Amino acid sequence: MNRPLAGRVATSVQDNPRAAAFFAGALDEFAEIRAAGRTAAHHYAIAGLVLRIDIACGAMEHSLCRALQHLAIPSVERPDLSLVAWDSASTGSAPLRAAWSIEDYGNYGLIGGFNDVRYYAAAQSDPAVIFGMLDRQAGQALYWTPDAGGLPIWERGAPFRPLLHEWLYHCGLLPVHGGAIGLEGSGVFLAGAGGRGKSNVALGCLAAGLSYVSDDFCVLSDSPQWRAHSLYSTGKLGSGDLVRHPGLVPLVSNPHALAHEKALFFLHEAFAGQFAHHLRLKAIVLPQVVGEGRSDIVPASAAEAQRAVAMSTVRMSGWHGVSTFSQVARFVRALPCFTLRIGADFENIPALIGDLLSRLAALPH
Amino acid sequence: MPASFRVSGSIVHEKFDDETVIVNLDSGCYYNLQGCADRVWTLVAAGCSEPVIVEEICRGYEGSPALMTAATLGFLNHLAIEQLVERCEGEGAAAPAAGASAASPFVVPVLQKFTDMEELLRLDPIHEVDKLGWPSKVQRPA
Repeated sequence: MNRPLAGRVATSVQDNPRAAAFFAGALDEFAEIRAAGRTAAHHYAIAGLVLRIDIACGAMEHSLCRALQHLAIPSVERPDLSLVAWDSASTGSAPLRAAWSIEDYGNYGLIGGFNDVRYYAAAQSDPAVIFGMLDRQAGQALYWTPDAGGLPIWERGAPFRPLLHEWLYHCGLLPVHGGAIGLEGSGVFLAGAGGRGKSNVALGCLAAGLSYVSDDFCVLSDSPQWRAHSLYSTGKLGSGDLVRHPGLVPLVSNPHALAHEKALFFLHEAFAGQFAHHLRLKAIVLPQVVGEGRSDIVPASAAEAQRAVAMSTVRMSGWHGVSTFSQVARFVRALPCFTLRIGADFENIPALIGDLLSRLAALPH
Repeated sequence: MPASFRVSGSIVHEKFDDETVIVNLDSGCYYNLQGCADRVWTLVAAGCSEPVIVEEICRGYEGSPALMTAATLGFLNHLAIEQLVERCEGEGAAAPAAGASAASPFVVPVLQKFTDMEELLRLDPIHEVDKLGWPSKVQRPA
């Protein structure tokens, strides 16, 4: 179990009969599907915690469990979180009915009256309705969507992300937007908004033989040192970037949708030996596409790293964006920061990352 | 009674060496402050009053007191216009100590504003729900 990051774990529980009743009712709906034998159970180890997912067989299981498969473990009696997931289309179950009105929807899809120290509940609608609810005290969560066939690429690539984000944060971990790659157990964290080159760098390094945690979403822990933990085994690239990664082209999971979706890869299926469950982080690297000349790595300020890591992470953090911002600041202050200027010699980037890690390993702690 | 300031509720900020990063979580805009601007922000965030902030800047930097006063007041006004700070009544706090270095030349404080993450951070409120109460995407005219 990871030590909680300072001062963030809720300790008191308030009564919320409305949320409790809705949660119990939804679990009953799932129990009927389970009783009919139409669900499967999976266990996963995430950053030292155990997640159990009971999920409707068929489209739901196929869409949402593949990205977590590299973290699968044998059955565990007492998981840290039990999540149930189903859709109505494939199970033939009645759609969940919201127990609130439009006025209750707030920022980030959070539902007023159903979010407190104990419960988290949020819904999103674009392009599919996805509802998630977490009972932090009971260690239970539920996830429902009308039709698993309508789940978008980002949900298949990063399933249950808001729910898992809330749960992991509650457990004292720091989910962040960014990738991590490395060598021999040590690595660098790749930060930056979409389009800055994170995925290209991470996937180029994977193809060159480096260890891989993620191209754009990691879970950080800080005890005894900053580590990046793997959550999803996926990677994504714009179709225009595939030319730099010819070895990945046969692995594209959605080749017929590239006109309107990014290419999605389930990387553990081809690179199992290079998947790292976690890496000890030695530096924060901010990719920056220059497009000409030789690539190089130059020092960056902590403020630059803060902007790169925090801005997109805060967007994912919903209501606890304020504390996330300060936790990210702790992270960027703890590590040296660099800008990776990506020139015309994209093939040299894995060697540059390797050289950086060697130099940092030679420094006294 | 002199006006003092407090950082607005939707603002998060962190100081790194002599640079401060500020984010407005409501608008998605973020800001960078360096040098004199960074020092003014430190005083604002500490809850100092307007006269204390001006006095501290005039004491901490080399330059014309009239210019430093005018530029500092203008900068404070700019922070308020951007809704990064709110004016409030009260004596205000004492100024936190500045670094031990010798006074440096005054440079007019500038608020660097960035809007490239605005799209990312801007909230998208839910405007419609379906018959079961779930949010539905608003169909905008093509």
